[in-house]
Amino acid sequence: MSPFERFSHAVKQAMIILLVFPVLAGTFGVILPAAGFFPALGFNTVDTQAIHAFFATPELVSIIGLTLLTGVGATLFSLVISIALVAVVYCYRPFSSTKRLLAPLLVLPHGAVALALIFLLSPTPWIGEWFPYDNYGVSIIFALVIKEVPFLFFMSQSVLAQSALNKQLSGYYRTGLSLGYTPITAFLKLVLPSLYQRIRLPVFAVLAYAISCVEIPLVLGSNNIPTLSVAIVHWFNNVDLALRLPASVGAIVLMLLCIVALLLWRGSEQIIGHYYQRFVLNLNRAGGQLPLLILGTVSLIGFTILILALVSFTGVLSFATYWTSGSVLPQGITGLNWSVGLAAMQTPLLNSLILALCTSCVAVVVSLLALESEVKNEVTSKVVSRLMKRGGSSGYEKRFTLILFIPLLVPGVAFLFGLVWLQQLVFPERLWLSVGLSHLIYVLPYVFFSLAHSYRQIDPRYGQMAQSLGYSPFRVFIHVKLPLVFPSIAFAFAMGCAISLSQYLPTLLSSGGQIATVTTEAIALAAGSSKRLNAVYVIVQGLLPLVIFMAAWAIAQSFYARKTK
Amino acid sequence: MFNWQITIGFLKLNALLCLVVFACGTIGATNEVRFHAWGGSAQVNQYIQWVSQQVNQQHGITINHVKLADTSDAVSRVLAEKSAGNHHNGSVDLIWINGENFAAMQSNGLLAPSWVNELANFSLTNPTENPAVLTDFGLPTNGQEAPWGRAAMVFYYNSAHVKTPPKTAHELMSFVVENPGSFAYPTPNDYLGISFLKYLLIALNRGNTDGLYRPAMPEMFAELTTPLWAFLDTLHPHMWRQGTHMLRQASHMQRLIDDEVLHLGFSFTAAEIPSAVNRFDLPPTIRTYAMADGSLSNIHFVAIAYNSPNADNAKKVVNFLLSPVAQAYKKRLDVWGDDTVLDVALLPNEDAQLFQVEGAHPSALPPSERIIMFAEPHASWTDALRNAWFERYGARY
Repeated sequence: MSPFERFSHAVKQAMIILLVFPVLAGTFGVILPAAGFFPALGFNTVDTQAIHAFFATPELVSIIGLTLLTGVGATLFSLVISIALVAVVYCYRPFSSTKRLLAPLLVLPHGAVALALIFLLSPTPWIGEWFPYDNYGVSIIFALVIKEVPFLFFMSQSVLAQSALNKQLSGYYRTGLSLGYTPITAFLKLVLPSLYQRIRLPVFAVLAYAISCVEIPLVLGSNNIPTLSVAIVHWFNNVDLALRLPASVGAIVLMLLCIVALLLWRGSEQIIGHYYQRFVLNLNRAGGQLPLLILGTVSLIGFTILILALVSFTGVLSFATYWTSGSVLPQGITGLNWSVGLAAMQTPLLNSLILALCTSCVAVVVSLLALESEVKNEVTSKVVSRLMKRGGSSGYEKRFTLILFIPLLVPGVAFLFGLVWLQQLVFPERLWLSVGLSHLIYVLPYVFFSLAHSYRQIDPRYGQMAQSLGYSPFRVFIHVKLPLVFPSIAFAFAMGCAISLSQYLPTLLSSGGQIATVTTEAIALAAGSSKRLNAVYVIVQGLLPLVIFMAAWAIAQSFYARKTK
Repeated sequence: MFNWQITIGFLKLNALLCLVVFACGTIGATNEVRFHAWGGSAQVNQYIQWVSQQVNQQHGITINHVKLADTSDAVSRVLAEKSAGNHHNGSVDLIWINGENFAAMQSNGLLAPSWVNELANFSLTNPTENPAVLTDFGLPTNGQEAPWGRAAMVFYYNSAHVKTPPKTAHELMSFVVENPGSFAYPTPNDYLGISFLKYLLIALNRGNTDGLYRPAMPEMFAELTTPLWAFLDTLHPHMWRQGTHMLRQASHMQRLIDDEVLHLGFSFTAAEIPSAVNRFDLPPTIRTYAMADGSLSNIHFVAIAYNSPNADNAKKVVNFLLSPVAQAYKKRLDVWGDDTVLDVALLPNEDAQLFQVEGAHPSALPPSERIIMFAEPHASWTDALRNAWFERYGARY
């Protein structure tokens, strides 16, 4: 093996460690205090006091119930709605151009979506009666669905875009149509089963996220009965440091809740799968056509209206002077909010950009090298994998995908506190390094996924040809492969920036509040006195990733223009 | 030879030190007043600068503003001087103080004995009607500190929705019952939240408030809080979100008033309301007023260190600080916006007019508004009240 090959292998191993170690270490870091061991506060013995303290929390059953209700409810609604949207877009071409509309919701951070929804909905007459802060988690479920539908939708789209699978599935679909099935029924019976198999991990990630998310229930939930994640953050940040012990128990309970919910989901899959098989095999050629068509169309229209309303309302609000309730437009416009907001935002904005650019750079380089080592792997075990995989992915690849999903499946609230404790132990003064590493855990998987598809599709013969002409593996990597996937690199880089920009809890915890970013400031201002200033922050939060994506697109375009000259 | 040089050098140094000490003593005793005051606010610093110019013209006194990061620094300096036996030539003349720092200085005998009644302008605060200027967080001032400024809890309402705002605690109750969902207050973790509870506690125990100015003993606490809990038990179901979701911060209350969801709010800084209106964060129909049954108020004072060599000049400065001119200038929104401790109703017309020059902002507290001041209860009531509230109404996250 050449030094480069060895290096790329080493990077891949490092990447696995980077993803798995912090989660394991962080989990370990909450198990100790949960067992009553926290020497810094004078708790030197292992006992069950912390566990008793946690289970003595008043209304604990309601807290756990609300957590499960919002988590499972939001995932279920998101899945059904996104399937309806995918079906409508898959079956009816004219709809496919509207899918671009969902992109802004994908890149906007959760906290920003929650804030924008408050601006739009809380002064609205009858919606304002229950939105936000209702006791049953309806507001939380609503906001989570708004945010997770685009995620599942685009995950499905990227699965359906894989050429081999696409060819296979559209063959099934056309056969269905020719046998007289209506379009959506054909989709449900012939495409969805294969599609669901491949978006199962993203669905699990949504479930885990919905159960453990902090920003949305913090901004929209009632503080009378909180979700468990909000209660945990409340205890961890309390002046009374002894509350960290029950908070650690809470973090472990939250992790167990996630596992229980995932198992329940798996169990329901079996049961629903059983009935679904009957549905697939019955000869009803229009089964599910009408309800799904209606749901898909209504959701599409609903999302379109909501996004347009959110964007225009937030935009106008940021320039508004007085705006009495009930009037369509404000009495006047002013630049005051923007000048105040931008002046206050300079440092947070700079911090956000530094973190986003650095972590994305690292993530792109690491992902590319990891992918490169994987290609080698495949070439050497080509025959074996050919025999094994039949067009699907190999067991190795599946295991690696699972590893990539670990940070998305283990609740951040649960392992981040432990991780921060560890970071303070290992490098107490390196704030930026701590925050950067915490971001990287979340940025890496997304960057890897964005790159993996196109990198794995590079025709190996280009590389073999170049190597036979005397190019070293390193030069093949730099001069042959990277140019081939350049647009994907630009896109993956922008994706990494968007993910880094949206991180709230990792930034807050790892920096101990000392590195302010636009996202942490926006959440801090959420309950502040000026909603016009909030609007400015929300817009900046939306514009930043948008500008980065556009720049990535422009760079990719000019790259090709130069190449084809 | 070598030893001699050192000895001579040492003698020279001693002589020099004596000179310096002597010089300091003479300078200190002339016309400089060293005003130890927290220096964290540009507005306050500029105001002290202005005061310095004024007293220099009137009395030939210069003020040396020693900008403190924390008032307790000056307290410990005086304490150190006392323990070192420096009883006549201290480095602190005037000190801006209240609450626990005052308590610490008083109990350690670090303050000049009763001097406030000597000041001509002190009578303008109308101490018999406004006993709040004579107590500092439950401690009698004993004439050892003079009131300088005040923050009082004022209420504000949206006149587009509310014609006659409630003027007493009992009117507040009927207002909330008649307009369900239009009022909310922050949890006692917030400064304004706990202040609201204190206001109710005092207002609901009218004529029986002596116990509030002594340490909170369980029996007294139970007796005095009974009417408060009864009041809140009735109030909560009629509040915004039926009192289940409670505001975390007072700033959120202000935002909901801007959203025209709530129509009544309160603040400890009257000056902040017109400036929020100017920033468009509150509607222009907002009006500010003070409760007729009293406003919780928080007075800040100035005191003189017991070992100040310039006590007489310091008193002249304090007398100027209490003059209508200085108090009116301090109250201007563009200067500091700090409320006066004078009873403006007592002032002769020409002086009272000084306070009326500004206040043209329709949302600001009308300058003529008479404020009956409730002094802060004894410091021990704060924690007791907060804990009891959470015990009774449940934790809020």
